[in-house]
Amino acid sequence: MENELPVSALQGGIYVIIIFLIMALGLVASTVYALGSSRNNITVSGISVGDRPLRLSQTFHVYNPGPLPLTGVYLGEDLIVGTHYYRNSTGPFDLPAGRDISVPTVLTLDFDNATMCTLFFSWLPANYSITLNLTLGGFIGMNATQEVGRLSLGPVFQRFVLSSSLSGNTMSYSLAYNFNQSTLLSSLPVQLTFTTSTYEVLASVPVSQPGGTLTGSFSLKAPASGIDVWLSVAGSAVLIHAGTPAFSFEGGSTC
Amino acid sequence: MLGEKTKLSYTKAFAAGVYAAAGYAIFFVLVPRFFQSGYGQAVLEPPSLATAALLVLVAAISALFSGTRVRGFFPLALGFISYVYITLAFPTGEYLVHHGNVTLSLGIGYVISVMKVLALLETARGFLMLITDNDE
Repeated sequence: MENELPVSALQGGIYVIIIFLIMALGLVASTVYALGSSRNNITVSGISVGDRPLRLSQTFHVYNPGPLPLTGVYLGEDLIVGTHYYRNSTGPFDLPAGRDISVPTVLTLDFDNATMCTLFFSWLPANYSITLNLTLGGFIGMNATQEVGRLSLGPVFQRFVLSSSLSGNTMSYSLAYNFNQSTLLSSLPVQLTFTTSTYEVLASVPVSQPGGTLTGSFSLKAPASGIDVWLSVAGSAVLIHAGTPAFSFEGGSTC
Repeated sequence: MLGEKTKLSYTKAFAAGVYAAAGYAIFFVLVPRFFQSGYGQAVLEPPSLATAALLVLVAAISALFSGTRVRGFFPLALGFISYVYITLAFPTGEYLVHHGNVTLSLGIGYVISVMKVLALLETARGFLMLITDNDE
C-alpha cells in the first residue's frame, strides 16, 4: 500500500490540474461566446472636410459581458483603396466585466491626384477591415479580424460632361453631371475651378447636389493662351483639362 | 503483490466505456450546442463519432487491464502519445479559426503548456505504476 502512495499523489495532482483547466477554459469560452453575440458595433459618422485630407470618422462600441475582464484591448482599422493603404488604431485600454466603452477614431485619407481622378470617374475598389486585439483574463490572447467588405468610394460622378466655347474674350461653359448617390464622397462639396496656367482663378463653380446642369460664362484676360480646369473635393484637386479654352471633356477620359 | 494483479476487469471496462461516452457527450456535444452562436461555435470542433469510439475503446481497454500488472503501460503510452500529439498539433501556441468574415486567433500558449505538463504527469504515473506493480 505504501508503494501506491506516489502513484496516488500523481493522480491527485493530475485531477487538480484538470479541474483548474476546465474551469479556466470554461470562463474563457463563456467570455468569447458572450463577446461574439454582444452589442459590439461600429458607427460611421461620415467624412469630414479637412484642409487637404479626407477624414473618415467612426466610433467603436465595445461591450464586455464577462465573466473575464479584457485587458490590453486594442482596436485597429485598415482601409485599402486601390494601391493605397490606410491604418489607424486606438491605444490599448482595459475593460472590466459588465462595462462598455465607445472609442472614436478618425482615419485620414490623403489621396494623390491620380487616385482622386479614379475616384471621380471610375469605380475604385476599397476594402475595410477591423481588428480587435485583447487578452482574456490576462492569460489568453485573442485576435479577431473582421473583413467588413467593400465600401462604395466611387465613382462620385455617374455622368460628367463639360464643354466650353470661346467667343471673343468670353468663354462659355456647360456642365451636365449626376452624383452617384451610393458613394460616400458624394455628400462632400465639389468645386469646379477655371484658372490660367499661372493659377489665376477665373471662375469657381460649386457643383452641388443633386446633380443636373450648370452653364455660365466668364471673361478671359487677353491674351489667354491656355486654361486649366480643376475639379476638387475637400481640398483635393484634379486637373481635368489643360490647354485650349474651347474643349470638351467627358468623365472617364484621362485626367 | 504480483498475485493480486492478474485478473481482467470486465465490469470496470464496461463502466469506463460508459464514463468515456458520457464525458464525450457532455464536453464535445452538449457544450458546443450551448455555444452555438457567436465565436464559440467556431472555436469548438464539431462532434466526431470516430473520436468518440476511439476514446471509449481506449478507456475500456485501459480499465480492462486495470487489475493486471501491465496496467501502468496504458497511462504511460497515453501520456507519451498525448505529449507528442500536443507538440505536433499546436507548434505555435496559436489556435486559428475562421467564422464567416471573422478570423479569430486565440493565443493558447499557457493552455498548451499545462496540457503538456498533464501528459508528462500521466506518463510518470504509468511509469511509477509499472515499477510498483512489478516490484518484488
